[in-house]
Amino acid sequence: MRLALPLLLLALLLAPGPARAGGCPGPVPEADLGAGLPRLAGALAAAGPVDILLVGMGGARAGSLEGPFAQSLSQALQHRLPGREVRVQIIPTAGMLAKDAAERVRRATTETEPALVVWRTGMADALAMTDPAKFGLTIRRMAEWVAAQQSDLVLVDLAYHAGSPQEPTYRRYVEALGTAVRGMAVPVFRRYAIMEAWGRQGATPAAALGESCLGEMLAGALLRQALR
Amino acid sequence: MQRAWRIDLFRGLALVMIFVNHIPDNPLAAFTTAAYGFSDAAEGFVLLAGVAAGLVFLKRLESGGVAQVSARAWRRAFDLYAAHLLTVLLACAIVAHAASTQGDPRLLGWINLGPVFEDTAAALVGVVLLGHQPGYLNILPMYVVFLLLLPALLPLAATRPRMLLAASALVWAAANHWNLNLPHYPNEDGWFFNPLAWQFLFVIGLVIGTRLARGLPVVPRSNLLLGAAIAYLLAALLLSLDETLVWPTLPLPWFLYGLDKTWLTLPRLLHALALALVLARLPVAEALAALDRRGVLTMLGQHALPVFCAGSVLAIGAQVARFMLEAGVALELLLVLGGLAIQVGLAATLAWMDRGRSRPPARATTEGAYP
Repeated sequence: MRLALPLLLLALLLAPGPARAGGCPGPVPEADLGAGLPRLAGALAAAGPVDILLVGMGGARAGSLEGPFAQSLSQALQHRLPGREVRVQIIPTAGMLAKDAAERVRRATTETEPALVVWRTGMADALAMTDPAKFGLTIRRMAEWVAAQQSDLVLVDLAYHAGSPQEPTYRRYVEALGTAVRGMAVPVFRRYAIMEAWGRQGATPAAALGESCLGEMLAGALLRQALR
Repeated sequence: MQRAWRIDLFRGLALVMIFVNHIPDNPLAAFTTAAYGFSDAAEGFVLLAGVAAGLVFLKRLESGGVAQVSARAWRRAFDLYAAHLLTVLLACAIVAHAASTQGDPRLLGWINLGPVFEDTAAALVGVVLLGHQPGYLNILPMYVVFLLLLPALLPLAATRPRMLLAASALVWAAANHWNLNLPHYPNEDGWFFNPLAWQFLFVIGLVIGTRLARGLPVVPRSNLLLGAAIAYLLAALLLSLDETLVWPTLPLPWFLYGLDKTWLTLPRLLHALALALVLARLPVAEALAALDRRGVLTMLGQHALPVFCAGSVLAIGAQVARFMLEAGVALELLLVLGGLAIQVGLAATLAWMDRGRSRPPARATTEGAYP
């Protein structure tokens, strides 16, 4: 009986996502999260609602490029967990540096006590060229803080675009983010590497569709990791 | 107005710090208050805006009543609104130029300008209605709200200051407790500078300004209070410098111990007020004035609106240049100091133009110097 729910969830996980115009590129190994999500697993195993906080993904308004990621992530989780109440709260922090967005994470986490916080960060810091060491320290402190709140944290790193002369700058922040949580049970959804892999495969979708694909991909990766 | 030069001087200093802080982590950022405590120059700027409003508009209230205050304050609100729109437009042009020359669409999301380029129809509505505010360009919309409310706030500040302060504190606490904020559009967010929270600091300044205008004492003389303020500033300094500190979770409403700028949380508010008390009690203004013999800071403070708008645009330009050129420390310093020099040049030009006019120049805190 204990295995029934995870098996059911796993079966649903393998079910196809909601139909959409255009297709997403196939799975890439870069999408694996690689670290456990014990609080999310616990929430999925329990009967109650699952609270998830999505930070840094813009508003949910249809039509904006920021919206599709959060929307598709939210919809894919609902789709793959039918009958479960998945309460997704979106905290937009568009254009905010990590140190400012961290305050939003603190407040929302304190108030909603979610099983999972998904925090997309780094782009504003890369553009503003904040000190990568300070950026990494902010991420590390927040990861420690979220762990102390008994919530899981998944970080989503920067976007990739082929051919920019500033790619080394973006990469510095991708690396700073990864390094910040090294040795901690904090998975990083490697958006940058995934988009780079799409580019190598010549399968880069249009911007809005790409965001939707990443959202769906993350939903799948979250549930795979939590139910492992 | 014996104290007005101090207000202009500190406002000039706040403008310099705001500009420096708008180019994050540049070497000069270590010389701003943001590096050593909970609050930053924005709090000082809002407090001083309240003081200046009290000083300037009380005379109008007493001579021409609420109607004249309304006419002047709302006209000033329109000036700020127009300046804000122009600043946003210039920022959009800088970012659009950077993105197009680099062929990198990620740049379009700079300082939350993404919706302007990706969802233009909705974002234009948002910009005009002040619902969409790019990062670093979100303080003027809050001032517009304060100026629109000034005809209601000022008579209370002049006649029932305690009642106004109590009501203002209540609105601040209610906004924080129930997450009340003015809406963003098209993004589903609230204003970065939440007017419902920040009005408390503006009102405190307004009450101080009306008392100053009447020649009443405003600075508490208690040495115990001064000691407490210094102790609080030192504690904030130590906490800010402790890189190993993981901010605690306390069994209190979040706004009583959190540090979110949007909500002007209690630690930020107390830090700003403690700093204001210490600056008012100790001869800091005199020391600064002695260092700044040419009165550059005071001149910047006297032309706060054009200097602030120019500084905002220059800071975004400097951020873009730093990113595109992958600037090292030397170029970074050049960008910051060059930006400051342009602002000083602008203020000096405006002062020169003021002197050339027949009417009295904007020597001390005036409506032209507001915010």
